Amino acid sequence: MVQHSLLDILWIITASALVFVMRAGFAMLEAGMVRSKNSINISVKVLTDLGVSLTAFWPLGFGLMFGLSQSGLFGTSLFFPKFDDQWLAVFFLFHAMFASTSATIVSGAVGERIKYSAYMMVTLISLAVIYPVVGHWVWGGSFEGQASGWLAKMGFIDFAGCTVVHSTGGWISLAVLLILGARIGRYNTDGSVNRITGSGLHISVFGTIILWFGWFGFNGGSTLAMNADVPAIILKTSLSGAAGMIVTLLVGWRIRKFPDVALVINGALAGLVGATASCAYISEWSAVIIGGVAGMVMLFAEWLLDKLQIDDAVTAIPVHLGCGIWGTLAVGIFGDPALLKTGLSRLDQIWVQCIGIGAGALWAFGFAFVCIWILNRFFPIRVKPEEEAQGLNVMEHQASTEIFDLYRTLEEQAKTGDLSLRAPVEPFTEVGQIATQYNKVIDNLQTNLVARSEYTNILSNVSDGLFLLDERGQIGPYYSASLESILETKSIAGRELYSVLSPLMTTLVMETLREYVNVLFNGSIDERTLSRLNPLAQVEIFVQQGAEMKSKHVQFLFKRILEGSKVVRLMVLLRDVSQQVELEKTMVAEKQERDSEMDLFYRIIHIDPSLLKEFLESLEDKLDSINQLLEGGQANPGETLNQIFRIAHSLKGESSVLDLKFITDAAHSFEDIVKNLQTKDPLDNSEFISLTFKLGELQETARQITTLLDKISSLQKHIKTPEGTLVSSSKDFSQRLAMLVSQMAGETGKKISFDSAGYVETLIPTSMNRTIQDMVIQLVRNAAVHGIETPEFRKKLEKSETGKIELRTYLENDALIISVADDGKGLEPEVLKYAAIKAGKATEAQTASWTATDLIRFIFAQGVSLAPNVTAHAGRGVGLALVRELSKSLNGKIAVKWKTGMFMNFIVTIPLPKNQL
Amino acid sequence: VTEGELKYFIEVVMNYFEQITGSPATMGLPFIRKDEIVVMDFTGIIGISGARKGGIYFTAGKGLLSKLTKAILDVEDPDDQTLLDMVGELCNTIAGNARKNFGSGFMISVPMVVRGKPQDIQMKLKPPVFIIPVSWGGDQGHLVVGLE
Repeated sequence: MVQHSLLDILWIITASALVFVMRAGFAMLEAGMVRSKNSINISVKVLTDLGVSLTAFWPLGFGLMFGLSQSGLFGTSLFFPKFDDQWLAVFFLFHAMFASTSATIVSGAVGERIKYSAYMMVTLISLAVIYPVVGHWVWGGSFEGQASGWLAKMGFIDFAGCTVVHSTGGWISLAVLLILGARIGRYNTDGSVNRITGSGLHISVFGTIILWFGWFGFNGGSTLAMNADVPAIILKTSLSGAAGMIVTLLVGWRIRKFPDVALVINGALAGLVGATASCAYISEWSAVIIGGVAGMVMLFAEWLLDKLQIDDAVTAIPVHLGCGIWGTLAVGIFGDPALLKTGLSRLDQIWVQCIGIGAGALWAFGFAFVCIWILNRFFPIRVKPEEEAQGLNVMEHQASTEIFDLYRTLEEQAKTGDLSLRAPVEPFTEVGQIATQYNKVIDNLQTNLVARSEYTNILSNVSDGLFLLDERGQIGPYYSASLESILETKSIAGRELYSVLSPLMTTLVMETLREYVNVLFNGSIDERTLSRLNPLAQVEIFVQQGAEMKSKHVQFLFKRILEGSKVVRLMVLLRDVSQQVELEKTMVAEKQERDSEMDLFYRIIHIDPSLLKEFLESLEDKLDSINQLLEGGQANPGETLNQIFRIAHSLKGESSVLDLKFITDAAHSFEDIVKNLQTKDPLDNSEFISLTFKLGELQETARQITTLLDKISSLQKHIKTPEGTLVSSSKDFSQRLAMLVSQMAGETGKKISFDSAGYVETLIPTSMNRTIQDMVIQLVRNAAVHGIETPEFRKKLEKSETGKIELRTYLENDALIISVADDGKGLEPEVLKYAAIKAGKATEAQTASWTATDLIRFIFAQGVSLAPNVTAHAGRGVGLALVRELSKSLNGKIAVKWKTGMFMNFIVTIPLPKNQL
Repeated sequence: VTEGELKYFIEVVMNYFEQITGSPATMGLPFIRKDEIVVMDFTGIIGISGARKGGIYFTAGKGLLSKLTKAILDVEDPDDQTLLDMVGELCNTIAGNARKNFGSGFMISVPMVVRGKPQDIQMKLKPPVFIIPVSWGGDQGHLVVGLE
């Protein structure tokens, strides 16, 4: 047994104290490199290691490591050692500190996700079994000064524990990490790495300095004596650490483009670890090279781990395992054989070092992996994801930090939206200041939100559309709910007003809106003046529903919003005024209708309603007939025109008998159109448009009269009209004819006496009444216009100035006879022939041979008139043609008697059905 | 509706046939319908509002539209959807021209096409309703205009 001086004892105790202080270094290094939510957890693990290691190392670990060797594999004595022996106590102290260092390497690597209890189990396994066994292989027997471990016997050299402490810690870390997996969010699916920033790298820097300081004892104490080698060992260790730091910093700077603090820290540690096995046997230059290479090894191992997605929280594996392996090898490469004293050649030494590395790996990794895999099966070593998210400080130890409390309040608020929550304010801390400011922001926000919720209430309940418009024409983010319903458009926020409105408005209104909004944004024009001129106070908008355009009337009101004197926004109010506008429109329309009804009323007031009704039925029938002729007469437009003309003419006659001048005029202009069409050759169907259009107007007139008549009828039920004031019903047809005659006489300056005493209407079957009346009207008109001469002319002929027209009806041989006779000029053959030639109906030669029958045929042909001008009463040349048609429709025959200059008599014979007699 | 507007619509339809197919259509005699309106197999309807309110539609049988499809798309025996598209296209042309020429005071709807008798078509038309028969290639269609 080697004797030890007091100085040795003092030095080893001092070195043990330095190694003990390394614990503080580890705690600071690791706490600074993890997030603050895990800082307490990781620090306390370092302290825990000490407790666990001592309690495990004293009863079991120490004996396994330094007891009497069993085949060089493990120790079998010195369990529960007594510290009576001074040197044993010092030796134990030093190695107990070493042992716990090995365990602490694991704590950093697996940080931020392992259960605290599981970590304690890992520490226990590593310190009770794994570490002491490796230690025995290398350092077994060192207490007695006689190597007994199988590796040591082979010449394996590990001065201060590259393999025994660092690599063993690294292998155990790797085994745990493989089972534990990476921290949540560390790696992306594409394999890229998310940098997790530590809570305080400055703390890590302090920790590293303390670790370096501790290393003086760690390596320097490994001499187990205070001798001449100690200063050089400490200096060479430091040289290696320095080289490691510089190389890592420079290379890392080049790669990462900035001086990464973590690289400075880990580079130094890499260099320190690298020299640990060889610091007693190398030159200064070797120390520098070993340190530099250790830095590179660390960088490479870090890259490799990320590539393999093995998440080491504090880069412990690259530093301790990577550089531990390198440091072990470096003994063989750089160690001075004279100092190593193994008697091996350099190559053999390297080989033995390799065996040591491999054996350590197999044992430490293999045993750790199996044990922890089994442990994990029964007792999962990883915390739950939500616990990991919350942080292990609180989840494992209920040890909150101010920043965590602040974070929790924020999270709670984010989750619940409860703005009444306030962050806890720790006085005189930075977080406390942040919390105070945060609470102020929340105070303001809450006030604003309460105010906003009131605005929102208003916006969702107001019946008008309300929104803000900015200068770019964009609608603001908040607007009243009614805006969407008025415009029948969803999600308007942020959209351009014009694009929202353009499908709903005519371009005219759209342009007006655009111009007016531009003017409103021009602050130089007085707002009140502008609002008086608002061209959008009432506009119509349209919403398409199916093929129909539903219309709405809306009012736009604008209010400028100013910042200083600049118009920054317009507040726009959109009100649906459809009901109001519809009401106004209805009133105006009703008034117009009333006015036109009154007008119409004055025009028809002179006619007995029942008579008018009869006329109206006839009018509608005739208009329908015309329409049917159009619809059905597609094949022969020319003939259709002729038929239409006759109906129109009869309508005109009928209306003139009733003295309905406005209808007579309308019928007359209708006739004008027909006449015009008849002259077209070729006749194009498109020319009919005017005709149909006019027909539409007449139909409208008929509709108006019908409406009015209905009103009058209902009025009549209440008021009895005095007898004789109105043109009364059909039995007074002769009276009406008399009126028509006197009217025509007045218009043509003739004197006519109309005798209808012989017109016995009772002889006429009701079914024929209207046709016969139409015929009589035409014949009487013909007599008045063409038969009777002017008083002056008659005077010259020595006739009475007053001409005479006689209308008679009688029965003869089962037939109804209608006779219209006048004492006028009769037929004038020369005049007729001239007219025929002029109208192109016959040549002069043809007319020369005309008989009386030819003359009669000619006057009954359509388009011949002897009247010099077209008037309401004559000139169309259609009257007698109509008579012919009407008579034909009743199977009648027409006879004509005349004497030129003396008289004319038309006799129409209509056969009566037997039952009519 | 004014006579000029009525003429304009007719002209648009006539030009459509002439320009698209190269062979002109013939117009029949225009008439008025009060109650029963003319509806054939396929109908395209355009709603008009604003300065005038009411509607216009073009209705045609399968015959006319099949020939039109053949002339435009060179497709034989088209399905119903194609025929609807045809009548829709014609109405689009009417609507487009109307938009261009009737000034800014009009709102003209996107045409709606229907097969068979459309619902409430009468409601969309304002009397008097003018019906203009159009024959093309021996087949019949009708332009119907019912505007205030």
